[in-house]
Amino acid sequence: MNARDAILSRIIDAKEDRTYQSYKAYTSYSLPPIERFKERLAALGARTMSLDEARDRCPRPAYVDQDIAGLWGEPSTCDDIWQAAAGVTGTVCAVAHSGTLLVTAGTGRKRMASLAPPVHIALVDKIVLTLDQAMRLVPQQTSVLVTGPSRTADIEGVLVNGVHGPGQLCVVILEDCVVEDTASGG
Amino acid sequence: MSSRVDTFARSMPTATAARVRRATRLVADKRMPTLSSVFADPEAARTAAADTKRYVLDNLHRLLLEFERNAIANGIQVHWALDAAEARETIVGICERSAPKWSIVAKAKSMATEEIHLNEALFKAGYPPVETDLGEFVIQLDHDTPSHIVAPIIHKDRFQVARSFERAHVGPYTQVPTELALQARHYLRKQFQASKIGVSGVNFAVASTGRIVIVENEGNNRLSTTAPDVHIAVMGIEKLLPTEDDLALFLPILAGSATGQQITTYVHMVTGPRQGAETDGPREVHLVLLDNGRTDAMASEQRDILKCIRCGACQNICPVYRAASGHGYGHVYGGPIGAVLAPSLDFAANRELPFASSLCGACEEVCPVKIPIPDMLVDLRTKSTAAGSWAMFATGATNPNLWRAGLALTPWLGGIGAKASGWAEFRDPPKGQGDFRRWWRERA
Ligand code: SF4
Repeated sequence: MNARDAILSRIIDAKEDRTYQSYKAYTSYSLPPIERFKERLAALGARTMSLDEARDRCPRPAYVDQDIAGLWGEPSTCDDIWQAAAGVTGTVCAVAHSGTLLVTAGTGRKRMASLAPPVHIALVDKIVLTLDQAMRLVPQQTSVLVTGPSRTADIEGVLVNGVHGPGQLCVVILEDCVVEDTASGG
Repeated sequence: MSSRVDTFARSMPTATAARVRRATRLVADKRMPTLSSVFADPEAARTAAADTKRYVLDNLHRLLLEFERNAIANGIQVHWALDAAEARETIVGICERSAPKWSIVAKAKSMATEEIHLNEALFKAGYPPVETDLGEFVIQLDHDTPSHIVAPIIHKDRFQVARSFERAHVGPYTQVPTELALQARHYLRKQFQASKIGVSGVNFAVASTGRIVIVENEGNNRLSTTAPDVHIAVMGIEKLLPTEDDLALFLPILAGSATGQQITTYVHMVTGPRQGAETDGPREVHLVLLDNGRTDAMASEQRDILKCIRCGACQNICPVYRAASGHGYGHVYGGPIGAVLAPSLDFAANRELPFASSLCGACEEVCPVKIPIPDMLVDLRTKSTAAGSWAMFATGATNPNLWRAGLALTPWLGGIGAKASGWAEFRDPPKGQGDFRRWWRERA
């Protein structure tokens, strides 16, 4: 018998057919969702700025994902992601409650764009209220939830940003950004 | 009292003990405020997490098949391994097929790979692993072993890290943690760029989508699993969740319990290798599903220990762990989780560990999946006592004062467990290509 069959033969499922209890009641907050999102980002050590400001201050050379190059206003000037001073990406959505960004892979995008350069600039055009709402929007491709800059507390519990991933996270909430509440399955 | 643990606690330098105590308390104090800032009712969240994991164990056969089918459809190559040796063989085999000898393996922190002592096997096979998590990197340079399942160098201070980095030519001596971290960043960048293979663990595997989910804060895990051409992930068969929706509960409850964060910085949801016209990401993703004693544990009284999500909260709160650190247990899993899991996976080698507890019950109170650790320890003690003459330890350990007194007694048996559980072997310098440190110096 191979390992697979041997392991499976040793696991016998319970007969009773029951489901399980889940729990996704998060704390409520009084701020409007966009303000809550900004507040969380600030607490995490990420910055928010306008598109113009981000473009002005973006360190060069920058790698820019193809699918948002039009929005960003200039094409990528650096395709070697290890050499890029900044990576500019879009997002599937952001989460107001936790300050999280949902970034996904796919044609015209690099998985390393939000990871290898010291600065990650993320453009946001949709904000959902809570993590469970975001989980329903995760695309079929490999995806990542990003909450704040890269960090470590391995040395004496001292917080250090930028140990392997970007030490600076810069979030642009686009002017036509929508806030969606899909709580009632909408 | 367990001799292995108390002997160690007695020999631990006061400064190390103070560091472990301080660091564990720091994280333990953040747990409840963080969970309360995320969940309207943290207690209800724990109840639901426990119920979800119970469901997973009750339906594991079906969920494993569902997961396997979906993972394969995503392009992940799924392997099964009955024990540590089989897992190591499988992984070495993948390395040999995908990269020339002496290719570097970028290694992300993973308890499953610690459990199967993968690093030494990789080194012997000619695929030197480089630990890329900051703490694990220090551990590797120092020939040490992790002392905590979440914070591997909880027993070290900045000065020790600085001396290790200086010795290994990672960077000049500095006492500033930020500078040390950036030295590691700079140094490990080159390893990521050179590595052909990346090895990681898995935090959750989602049955309904066939995705594997890995959480971290540093970004080294994403780099290890994205930059190299081949990604090999290793996971215990119990790590399943039914749907992605369940992550909305499990991601915050894991982060809150482990580090006092609302969610980890990165949650990498790996569907599979690069697709279509993608220009980066691994070309192959392999997943090794590991039994290594888990199906035995499933059929035992300790079945519920397989609910564990490796958050380390029970270690942070445990008075015995705080006095002995993870090293005291002589097994990769130390603290309350280890005192149950180690003997559940391998009873003969670890049957004294269930005595390393005062049964104060703090671990069960903080456990995000409500594992009744104290009850299990009592059961395991009975089993241990029946298997040998361990009654004297039981008396000492159930009474905190006697336990403390026990710290000053009974040094016999000290190294036996450590040897049997494979740590003695693990602590020896890797053989074959000479000493790891020398190899490191030469290539640095
Ligand atoms: S036993 Fe519970 S508290 Fe301990 S590591 Fe596992 S999940 Fe966390």
